[in-house]
Amino acid sequence: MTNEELKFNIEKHPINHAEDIEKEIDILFGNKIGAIYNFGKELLFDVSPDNLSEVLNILRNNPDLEFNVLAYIKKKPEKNLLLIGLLSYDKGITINIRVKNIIAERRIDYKSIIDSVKKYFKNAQYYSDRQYLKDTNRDAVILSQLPETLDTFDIYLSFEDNIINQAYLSNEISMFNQDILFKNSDINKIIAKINILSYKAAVFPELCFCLGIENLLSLKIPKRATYIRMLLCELFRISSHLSFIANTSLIIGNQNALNYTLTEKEKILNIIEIITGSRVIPNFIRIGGVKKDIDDSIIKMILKSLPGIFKNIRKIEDLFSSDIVILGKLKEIAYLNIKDARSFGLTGPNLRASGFRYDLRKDAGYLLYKDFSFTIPLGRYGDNLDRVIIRFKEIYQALKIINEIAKILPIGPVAKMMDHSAIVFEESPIISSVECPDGIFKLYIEIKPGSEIEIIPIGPVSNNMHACEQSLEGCNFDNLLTTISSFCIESPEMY
Amino acid sequence: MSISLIKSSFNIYVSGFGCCKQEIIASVGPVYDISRFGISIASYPEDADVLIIQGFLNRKYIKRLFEIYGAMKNPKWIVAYGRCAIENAFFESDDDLIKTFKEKINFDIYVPGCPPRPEAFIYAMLRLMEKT
Amino acid sequence: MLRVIKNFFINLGNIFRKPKTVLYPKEKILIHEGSRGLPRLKLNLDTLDIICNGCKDCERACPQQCITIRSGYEDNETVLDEFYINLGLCSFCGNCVEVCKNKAIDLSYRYQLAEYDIESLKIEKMDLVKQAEYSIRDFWTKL
Ligand code: SF4
Ligand code: SF4
Repeated sequence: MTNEELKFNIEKHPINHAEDIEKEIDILFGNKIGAIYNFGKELLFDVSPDNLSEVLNILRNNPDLEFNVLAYIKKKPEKNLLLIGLLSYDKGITINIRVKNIIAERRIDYKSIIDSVKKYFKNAQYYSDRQYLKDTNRDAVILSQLPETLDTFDIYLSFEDNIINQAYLSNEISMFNQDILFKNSDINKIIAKINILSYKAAVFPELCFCLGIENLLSLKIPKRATYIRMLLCELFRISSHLSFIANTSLIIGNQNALNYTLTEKEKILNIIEIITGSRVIPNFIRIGGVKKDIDDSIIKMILKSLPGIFKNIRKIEDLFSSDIVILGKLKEIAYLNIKDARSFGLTGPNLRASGFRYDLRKDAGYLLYKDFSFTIPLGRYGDNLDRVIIRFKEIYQALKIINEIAKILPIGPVAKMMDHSAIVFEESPIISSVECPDGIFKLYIEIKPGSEIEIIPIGPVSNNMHACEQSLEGCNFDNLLTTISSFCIESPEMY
Repeated sequence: MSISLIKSSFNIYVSGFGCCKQEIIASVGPVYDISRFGISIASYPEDADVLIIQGFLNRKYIKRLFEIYGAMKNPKWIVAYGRCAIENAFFESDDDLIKTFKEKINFDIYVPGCPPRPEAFIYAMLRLMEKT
Repeated sequence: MLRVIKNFFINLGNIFRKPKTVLYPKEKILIHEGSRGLPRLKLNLDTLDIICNGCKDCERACPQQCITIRSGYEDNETVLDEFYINLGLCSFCGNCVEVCKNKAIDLSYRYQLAEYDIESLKIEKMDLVKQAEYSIRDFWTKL
């Protein structure tokens, strides 16, 4: 290779590291943006509303950056704040933009900002005011909770000859402002309460919060504690996927599958209860470790019960992939191809069912997932069946990880002894993210003077809902419920 | 084999979004099997005898709750399941709506816990049957 | 034919299998050690006094603000007067146990609770002491 060729290659090499991107952004924007915070795979900086349009344009179109997916928009009118997340799947890095007025009194004009975001990102449409869709889609209105399993949103439909033209899922009935919940709470109180932000898998918000604070304090966690955290994460992942499967089989109307699934879920909850002391709300992860140790007899019990659980879940999967009635309701319905799935900013199993591999456990390397060999299952077509089967496959991988953890759990302390009241925090915003069963769960944490903590959760709900709405178009009316349930939109959205 | 404790059969309607709902669904499952007592989950409020209020309720949903309650046929009972429902720990508090909520809706039985275990749910339903 | 024979044996096995359903009020699930139930106040086993000295650490640490303590002063030491827990708010999180320096509070295994009126959910000192009956895992055999 000649010298010129070598040089050319080096120049062409894409920048993939957060540090490089941080530098690049710094050079490009200079003092148009505030200080850049770097949290591994997450970057965060301030922009004033006037400069936003230009910044978005460059971030999207500069060939070195190419952040071409809008991951989320979070409005916080009470705090005069707006968060915008841009994602690049290839780099695996998210840029979080905090829109803030320099003059604190000036209110942010959300409408005009979203209009300007819409110019660059098509799916910003979802975050604008869409009340008018209620009036235009009035051929059928299904209120929430009337079919007993579809929670948290009303469905407005317009259709012709049983083919759905447009669907509008309105989840305003289940939107919650969680500010009151965390009013004057210290860290331990927040950990005890935060788990209801994603209650199907309640360990993930706790973990996310603790990881964020530990990141700020640059604490090193004992290895045993990290392994126990991973063990819990995988257990909760299984339980959440099982409740998804139970829901789907209830909607399909297969009582056998429902009963089998609930029995297995009971076993998993049992293990969770032995470890944490509660079936649903663990309150187990602490800053610097976990609450208490688990002893060897428990680990032996876990190891003993895993093969049985695996065998039974295998049976349920057989039922799903061979029963003609189930297959007729799931197979080849509501396709979602990779390109579309990426454009909605989807994450989690719904994205992977379309065949795109993106998983924070491998890509961001939080906790110690790199110690274990597991594969990330992928779907092929992205239809309803793929979205169900991929959850089964993830359960097997989770069981495999649990098995490995239980075998090689190292000996050592489970928590760093520290006095929480003595910690002095720098005032700084934190973004931390974990891969929860439905997608990526993020927390924006801001520590204010006087150690007051402010939290904004950013869940995968709105991306999933958007993707669901779009893939309902052109779908038969009979397949409405199965399609919606296959996207797993079960928890309410918190803001 | 199992004894029948049925005095009257109950159809329950579960409202609200929250963690407690998981435990109610668990009690329908084969391990707890609440249908032994003639209790089943109804899909429509018109069929229901017992309204279970659980989880987080926001302003819009409380309004719908009144509609649901109005659609139920007499006699009807209301169960407060979980911390959120008992103490009106709704996320949007101090409101006129909460006041009307308290006036209009009298709970017949309270099940404390966060979330209460499925056993507590069955126990509450049995006590409710005793009362009726 | 082979399938018929196979299914026959599966069914035969099912006859002798233990039923999955727990007949709840008659038999109960033995919940695990460390499961969290209703809080209780511990007694000093020698003097049969309440160990709690009313330092209000748990009141401050409770995330749901459900503990109310009134304490007085006697010989330069705090003494407990009243101790209320509002069960309607308690989430059985166990933070109060974690924070107590005197190990005066503990969680029992009592999980089946349902009351007709909201007043009986506010329990006071002596009731909390009585929860000691529920501090063994198979309490229903002893009651
Ligand atoms: S009472 Fe507790 S478990 Fe039930 S919905 Fe509220 S927070 Fe969730
Ligand atoms: S268990 Fe938790 S909620 Fe209940 S009294 Fe103790 S600290 Fe408060």
